[in-house]
Amino acid sequence: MIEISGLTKEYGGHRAVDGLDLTVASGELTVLLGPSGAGKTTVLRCINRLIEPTSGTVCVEGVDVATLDPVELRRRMGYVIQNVGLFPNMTIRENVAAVPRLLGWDKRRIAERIDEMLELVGLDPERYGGKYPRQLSGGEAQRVGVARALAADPPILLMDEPFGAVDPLTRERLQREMRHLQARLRKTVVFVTHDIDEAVLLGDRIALMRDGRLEQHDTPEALWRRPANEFVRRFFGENLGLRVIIRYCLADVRLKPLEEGATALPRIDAGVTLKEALAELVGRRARALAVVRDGAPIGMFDFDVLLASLAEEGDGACS
Amino acid sequence: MSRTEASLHERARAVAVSGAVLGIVAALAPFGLVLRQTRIDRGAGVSLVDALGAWWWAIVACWLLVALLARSRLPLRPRGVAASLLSGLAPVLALWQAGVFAAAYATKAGDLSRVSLGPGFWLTAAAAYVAVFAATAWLEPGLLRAALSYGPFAGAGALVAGGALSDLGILKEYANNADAFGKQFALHLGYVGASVAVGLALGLALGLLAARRPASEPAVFGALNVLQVLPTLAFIGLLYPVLTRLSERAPVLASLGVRGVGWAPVVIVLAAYAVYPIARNTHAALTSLDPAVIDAARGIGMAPVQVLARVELPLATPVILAGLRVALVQTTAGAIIAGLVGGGGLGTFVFLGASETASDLMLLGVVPIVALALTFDRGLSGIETALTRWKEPA
Repeated sequence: MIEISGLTKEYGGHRAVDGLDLTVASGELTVLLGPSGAGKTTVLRCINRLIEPTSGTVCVEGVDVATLDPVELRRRMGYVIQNVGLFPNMTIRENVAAVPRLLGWDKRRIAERIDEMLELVGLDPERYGGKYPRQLSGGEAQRVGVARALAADPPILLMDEPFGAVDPLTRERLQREMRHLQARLRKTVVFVTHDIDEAVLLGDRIALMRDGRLEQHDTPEALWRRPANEFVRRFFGENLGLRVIIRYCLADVRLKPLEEGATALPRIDAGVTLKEALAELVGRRARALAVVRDGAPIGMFDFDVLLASLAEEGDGACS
Repeated sequence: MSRTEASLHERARAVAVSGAVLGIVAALAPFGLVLRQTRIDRGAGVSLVDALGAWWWAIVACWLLVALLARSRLPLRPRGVAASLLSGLAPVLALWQAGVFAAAYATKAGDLSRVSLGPGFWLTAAAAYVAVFAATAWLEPGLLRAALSYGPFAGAGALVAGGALSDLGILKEYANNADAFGKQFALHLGYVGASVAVGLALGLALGLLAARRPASEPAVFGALNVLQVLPTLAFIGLLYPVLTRLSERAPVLASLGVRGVGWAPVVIVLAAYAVYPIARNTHAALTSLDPAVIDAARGIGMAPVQVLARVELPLATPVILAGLRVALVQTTAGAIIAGLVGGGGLGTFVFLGASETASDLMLLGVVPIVALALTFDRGLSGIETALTRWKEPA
């Protein structure tokens, strides 16, 4: 658990962060979201003490980080940044091994861990291990960045716009993989972005910031259903609802029973998100879709089903 | 093949042709060899055409073929191999035949007479350097390219070792000074080694200081700039009273040979000159690193020393090595000054030769210095390439 209280950082009279209180629960991914200059990155960098706050405290597992050695502290937190920051003079294996080496792991354990990490992020250790960062694409480099951050199995992961510098298609794929990864690993993650879609897809909770202050800290769905103020409502805009339904799968909602003639309907897999299902309805100009699981129809999806599913607040478990 | 590589290959054609043209001009130059009745005589020039007879045609044929190859559509590899072989062959042929000519001249004009390599020959060597440089650009880096680049030097070495050149003036001077030559050569290397070692240590430290404390940068480079523009002899002159006084006060220093003249001022001055390029490049390299890489290094928990040793210095190494290369080449030439202030070294032959107007004796000092400088230059750029495999593209 990370508890931030009264955090303030001043730069020559300007308050980049202004008395921020925020608690990130263990195993949750909290997105710090907001327009540029809102102070998101400053908050993130106060957690691993790359920046020392002017006042206020950051406690990790109940211990004030100001009392810890910053170098030791950082080794216990994974760190991923937008420009990746892979070490160009080291091979991919050496990059991933960086933190375990700093922690003094023995060679065999490090070697095993590298293979495990590269496979985890979907890179073949044989093929990529000996390459240098310059030889990778942006997406591959970012995967290595994530592997490096996870290598020493830190309980906490700090990510500063990690997918900001890759092309949109790659970014979408990396975001999905991140969601699967987090569902498996359940790290305590603080994730900085200014991309609303990314925040809604990945965040268990979103902390919306403006001018160094916290405007609202809640689940994506709660931000949509109960915005705390006018700024929150305007920031997310009218289509937040449309964005939030990406967090639900067809398998999560109560479908209509199959009617006669349902076999003639376009088919869709139960594993897809409500957003994709809606896109399918619109794209095919269909009144309804036949939802199939393992090839067998299990029900029907139409606008009524969608509306009914939105009537109650859910927990967005689809990954 | 990238576009820049392709355009490099095209430009190398023009360079190789210029080398070949220069080679032919050199072969026609009136001072190919210089003939003297005695070693301090002013001498008379004779062109390579006149000196080498039929062999002259072989040398000109080499150059014409190089020019033709450079303009040809032959694939890169055979073109590169043939053109660099022929370019390297021309000066080695000229050197060998100069040796043959010198032997014949000695029997005719007597033991006191001398045959020296003249401007025409050195121009031939320069032409070969240019042409080999261009022609090897058509080859992939590797053993073959290295062999073709250094082949001409090996050829010249073999001619010297085999005694084929022992009637040339420079080798007669060597024969008269063989004992002293070994000692002065070692001393020269010692000056270079000591000064560059001191320069490297100070340069790294000052470059690092200027990079870490930007406020110190103007002071550091201001001081180094002053040292850099101070003429060598003036610098030694300024040190003279200081070192003299020091050695009088501290017998320990005096017993080590620290005096106003001799090795001490030479090493101090050369080291002071060597600091600048190393400090400059260290500073430039450290301040131009990708900030994201440094941020990541700190962010994953490297201590400041680890960031420096594992990330910053390895990334800065190619640029620092380039500075070291400049320092080495500059110091190798600069160490001549030791010959003037009682420090010995290869400069001894240069200044003695100058005072006696014995140009072959001067060459006995100059040729090894040039060879050393070229060796250091090539050697360090080889190390640079080997250390920066990570820079290679996919």
